[in-house]
Amino acid sequence: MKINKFIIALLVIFVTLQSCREEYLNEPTPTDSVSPDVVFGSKEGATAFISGILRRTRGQFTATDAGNVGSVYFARTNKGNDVINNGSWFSFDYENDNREPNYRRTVFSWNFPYHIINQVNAFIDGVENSTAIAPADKNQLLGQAYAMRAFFYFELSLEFQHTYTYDPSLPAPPIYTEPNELEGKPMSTQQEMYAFIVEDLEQAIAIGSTQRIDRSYFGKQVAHAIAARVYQVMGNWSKAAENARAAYGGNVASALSPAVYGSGFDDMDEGVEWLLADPQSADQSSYYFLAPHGFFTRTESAYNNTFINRSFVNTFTETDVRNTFLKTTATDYRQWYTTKFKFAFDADVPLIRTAEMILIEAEALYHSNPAAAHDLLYQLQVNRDPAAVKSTNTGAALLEEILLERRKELYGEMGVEWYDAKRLRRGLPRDPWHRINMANNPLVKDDKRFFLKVPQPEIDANPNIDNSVNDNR
Amino acid sequence: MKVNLRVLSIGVLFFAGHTLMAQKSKSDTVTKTKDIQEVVLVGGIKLDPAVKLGSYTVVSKENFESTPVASIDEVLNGRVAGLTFSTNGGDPGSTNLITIRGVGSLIGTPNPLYVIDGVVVGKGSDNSQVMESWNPLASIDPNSIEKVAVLKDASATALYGARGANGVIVITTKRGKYGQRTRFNISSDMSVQDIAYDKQRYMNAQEFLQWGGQMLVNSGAFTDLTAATNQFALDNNYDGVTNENWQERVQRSSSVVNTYNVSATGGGENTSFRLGASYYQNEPLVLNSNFDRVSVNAAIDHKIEDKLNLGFNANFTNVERKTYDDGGAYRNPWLTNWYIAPIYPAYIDGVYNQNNLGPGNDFFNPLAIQENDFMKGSIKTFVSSLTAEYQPVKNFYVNSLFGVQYQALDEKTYWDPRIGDGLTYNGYILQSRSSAFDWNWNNSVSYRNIINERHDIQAFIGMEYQEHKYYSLGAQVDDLSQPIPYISFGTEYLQPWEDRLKWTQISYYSRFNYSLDKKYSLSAQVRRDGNSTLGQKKYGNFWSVAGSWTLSNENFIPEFFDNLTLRANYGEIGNIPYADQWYVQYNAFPLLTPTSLYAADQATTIAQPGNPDLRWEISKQYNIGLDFGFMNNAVSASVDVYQRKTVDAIYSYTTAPTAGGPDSYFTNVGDILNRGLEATVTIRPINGEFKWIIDGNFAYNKNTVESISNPDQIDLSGVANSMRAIAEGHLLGEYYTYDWAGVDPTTGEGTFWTDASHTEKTTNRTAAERVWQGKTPFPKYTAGLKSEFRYKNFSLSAFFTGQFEYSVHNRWQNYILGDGSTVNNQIVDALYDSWTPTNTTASNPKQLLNNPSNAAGPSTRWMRDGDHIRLKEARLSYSFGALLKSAGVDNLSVYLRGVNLWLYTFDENLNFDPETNSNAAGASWAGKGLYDYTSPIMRSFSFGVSLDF
Repeated sequence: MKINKFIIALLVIFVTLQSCREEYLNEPTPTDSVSPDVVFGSKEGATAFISGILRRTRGQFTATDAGNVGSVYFARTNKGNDVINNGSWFSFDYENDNREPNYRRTVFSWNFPYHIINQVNAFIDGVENSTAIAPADKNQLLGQAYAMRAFFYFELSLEFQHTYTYDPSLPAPPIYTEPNELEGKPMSTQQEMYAFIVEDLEQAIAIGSTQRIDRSYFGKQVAHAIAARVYQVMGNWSKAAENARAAYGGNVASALSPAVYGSGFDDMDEGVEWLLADPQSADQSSYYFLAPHGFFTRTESAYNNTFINRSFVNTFTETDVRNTFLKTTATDYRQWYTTKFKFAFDADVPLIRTAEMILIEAEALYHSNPAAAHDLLYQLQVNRDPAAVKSTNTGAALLEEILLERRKELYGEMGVEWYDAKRLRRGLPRDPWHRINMANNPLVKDDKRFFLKVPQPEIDANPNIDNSVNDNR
Repeated sequence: MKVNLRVLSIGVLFFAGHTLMAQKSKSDTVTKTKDIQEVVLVGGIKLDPAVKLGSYTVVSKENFESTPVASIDEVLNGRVAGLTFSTNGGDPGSTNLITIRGVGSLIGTPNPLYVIDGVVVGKGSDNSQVMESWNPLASIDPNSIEKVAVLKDASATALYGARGANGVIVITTKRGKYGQRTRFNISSDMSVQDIAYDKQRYMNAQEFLQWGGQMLVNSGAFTDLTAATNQFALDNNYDGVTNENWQERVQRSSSVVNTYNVSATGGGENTSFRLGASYYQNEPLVLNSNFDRVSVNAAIDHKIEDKLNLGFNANFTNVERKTYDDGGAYRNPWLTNWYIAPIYPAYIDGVYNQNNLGPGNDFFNPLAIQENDFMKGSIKTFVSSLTAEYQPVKNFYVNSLFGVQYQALDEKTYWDPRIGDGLTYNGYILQSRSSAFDWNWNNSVSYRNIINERHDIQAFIGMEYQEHKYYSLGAQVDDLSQPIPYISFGTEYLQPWEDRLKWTQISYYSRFNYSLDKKYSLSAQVRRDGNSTLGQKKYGNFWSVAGSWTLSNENFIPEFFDNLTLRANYGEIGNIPYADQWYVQYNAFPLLTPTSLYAADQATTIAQPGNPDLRWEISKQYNIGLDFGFMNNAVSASVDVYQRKTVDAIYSYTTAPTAGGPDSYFTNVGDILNRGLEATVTIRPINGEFKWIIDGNFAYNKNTVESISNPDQIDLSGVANSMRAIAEGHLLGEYYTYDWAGVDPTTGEGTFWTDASHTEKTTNRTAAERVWQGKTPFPKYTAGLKSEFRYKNFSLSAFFTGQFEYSVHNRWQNYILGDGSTVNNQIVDALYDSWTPTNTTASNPKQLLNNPSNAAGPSTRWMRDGDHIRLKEARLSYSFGALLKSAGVDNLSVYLRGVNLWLYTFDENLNFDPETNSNAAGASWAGKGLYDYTSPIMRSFSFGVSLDF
């Protein structure tokens, strides 16, 4: 029967299509990307995600002065007295005139950390829910993620409010713990922000591992180092000392490599001092976005627009390995420059070094055991300058000596002058010979210019933050 | 056979048909009209004009035959109430923007869905990788079209469900007839074209220099205009003699379009066929550009004992197209007048002038670029369907349709190493191969019966599966070893690409129709659609109901009425606004991209977070209509009022930067409301040997964004120099810009009102507030009017279209009339209508060299009323009818036709075509009414011949 054949054929068609329908709709997936299942399906996949996030931290986010972690730090460096900007990139930071809601600095310093944090949140979410990664590996991966998240929230807290000790009840940037939220969250408070940062760091320390691929990964030692900074800002000196010590290992001599001064601060693997770095290579570089190297150098072709204040040069002895200053032919503010940082596309950028940890411990000890602090400080000084003589300073003068040592050790790296002035609630006056000496409007104690306004794009897009957030800010 | 006749065929067949009809009785006329109006939809479901439930318009074949335009969508312009057409570029093959009953979606193309012989071919959006755009509908041979039905409301479009919410255009191609001897048709058309409307006059050399001199005087550097002009000439390296018209340099003297068609139709008792072929050759105005299309098509039907009907359709076309960058591209030949001043010659000593072209233009000689560089595409398209209808038992039918569409594009760009951009790269070649493959399979079972000659019952149940795939492979090289346009001559290899994209859709549908005595009709439809591009909720349930009452069949209605029918329907239909754009199929998926390394380690980052909550956008529509005809159908008309409300409209939502992801997500954010009225009328005031037929249509539409989830958000259109925005409570795409307050007669500076109150002025545009203007680029009113006279074998017709109450602007306004901010050539207003101490009432500010003022930026200074009336088509034809019967010729007809012959604009300052769009906005609404120096709309004059034997 012809008819029956047709009917059977049609029935077959209907049944076939019917039974396959779910599969048909779920089948089309992108072919040029990987799904989260694959990424979080193995330790290697998850590690590749960490590598991807790290690559973003040293990339070209917006513009030459707004590209990566180095840009955040170098903007701070420009705000102080020890370095002098000669115009061009970072000049608005140098003028301390870069905090309005639509300015590039403001928008970058806000968007960039949140961009990284969202990636880290996605990572944490994926690893926590992965059934394929072994528990021990999970701890090692999550330890890094918690430390990264704490690092970027800490930088946000520094950029967008008075220091923690000024008033912990003040608004702080929003806190996100989940990835890919559609709706913007409201502002938090400094108290909530620091509690969250501390929680992340303590967890990173509890489960993290010091084993890492290279010095750009956030191993447990980095978690300790970030914690040392955080507790330093909070004024929790015992915790600051404990974490600083854990970060550098407790043995000053074996934690320092004075020989690296003079070779250009461009290789994270040289010596033992670098705790955290943004590495570069010729084909994976932030190119001319590379701060501070591209801005201090005078010998390689880059922006070459940052000079050293002669009063700062004068604080170094001739025999100090850190005295890497050279003179230009100019006699004005452009007289001195530094050779500490050698520019190349493959120059690594230092983010945290052991010397900073030693000095955090010294500062912390100053509050409980000034003699021990003085001894520790001298150990560092004599490492840098074999001819160093231990000072006779006590009391406030000893603290000032520690702070000066921090500037001499860390200038150009993490914005030490600004960081110390902000957290210790001091002003930041300039010498009169500066290109812009701000004599009429110097940065004073608790100056609002120590932090930025909330960016307008956030206010526009976030239903939980309105224009009033910038009232009196 | 007289094969060598040039062109034409249009309306002849139609005309002949009408003559025939006139001799027959009224009922035959009605039957004939019914044939034209009857549209077969999916699964054997018909739109029956006798029991019309929904709102739809049918455009018949004579409008498409031998048309000089390249794509069929352009033909619909003005012929359908509620349909607005505008083009993203007049270069044949460019994409167009069509809206039916306003814009229903915030993103994606607002175009309707096109279905050809049951094959779902998409929305006419762009398939190209290299060319500015490629309109897939330009692959369809208009001569193979029998009729086009434009479905407008929910009861009509519900059968196409998802993707049908913007309306559906159902194209039926020509078929053979059973039991008819084989007939042949040969037709040909030749058209000559030029620019339809462009009132922009650019300065000649003398004017340009004088403008420069005036600027120097205005700045105070000179007091004597002649001395200043001489200085300006000197500063700009003028040779003292040149007066170049650059636009003419890069153009042909005229554009010519030729069309040749041949077809054969016929059939035996059980088999019928139609075979057709056509060649369409368009030489556009721009030098070296062209568009050649070869098409072949076939339709075969076969029946077995009236129980089983089988059908097959195939259409193949090949397009060879040579085009160019237009719109915002610096090398756009339509911008030549602006970017090179007339004081520079095209040639110096017989070779291209490469180094004296004005600041920044070295080596960018437009003539050299047009003659040496190229952008071309070869597009092969195959659309085919197989249908079967089987009647297993009485009144039961099983229908199956399998359709495929395959389009392969081979595109190439070449930049000669000796000129322009090519110099920078030492030559550049981009080669791309891409293809789109779509197929759908539709199966249904139906029951159709008329019981007791009173109850007409039809019930359907069916399902459809669609699959859409896109594949693209591209390679690019630069640093050519020789100036030869083949990849193998590149010595440096740039990033190649490969993309494979796919999406699918499954639908289950049912429909129930009931009609009593052809008086009372009821229709209900329920469907369930699933779409792979959505988040976790892939399925949506949609429905519609419709009823009609044919009052003219009631006894209490006077005989005076030939027809009086009241219709009403309501429906909710799903829509995926982005589905027809490639690369956005995976919005719902979180993706990580493994494209980078970190040191030697693999590095992965989030490419997109995905929105698992992405769900159907729903279009809720009602339509109430009245059809009436009286005095032996001397007057017949339809009026429809509708509301179309889109809820959960999908939009690219700007996310808070703290959320840390990409800047925006596709998500369901708001409601859009369209309300309107449509009327169509046909009047036959004289219906004897001399006939006068008037067809008119009119439409009103208002399109409002009712709500958006973040009500304070105002999204300016992302297209540069656009002045339109989307915000809650405002018209969709409403103009939102600074209020121009004219030129200060004492200082010559441009001024702006600081706010909507118009109390205070400022010379700083951005210090003013933006003001909502109450106008959009979409016409509030559209109208079409066709008047046709017939006498014996002569026919004369004129077809006017009009669009009213809308605004347009020129995206390049602040460049072509920049008040001196750049020293490029300007339109003559810069010289004759700008402020000087002796001309203080001029419309434009004081011209200053390198003018720092921002007064030329976007503001109402540039808004123009787009309102216009256009003579879309006029035609005179003569048919020999039976005169040549003895020579074996069934019919021979000849015609003259003009397209876009005349344009009347209501705004005297409107100097560009108000029906052109920018192609910079992709397919979205944001390109609408934004004049962007894309290829202009053409006016054409044709002569054509059609021979039947």
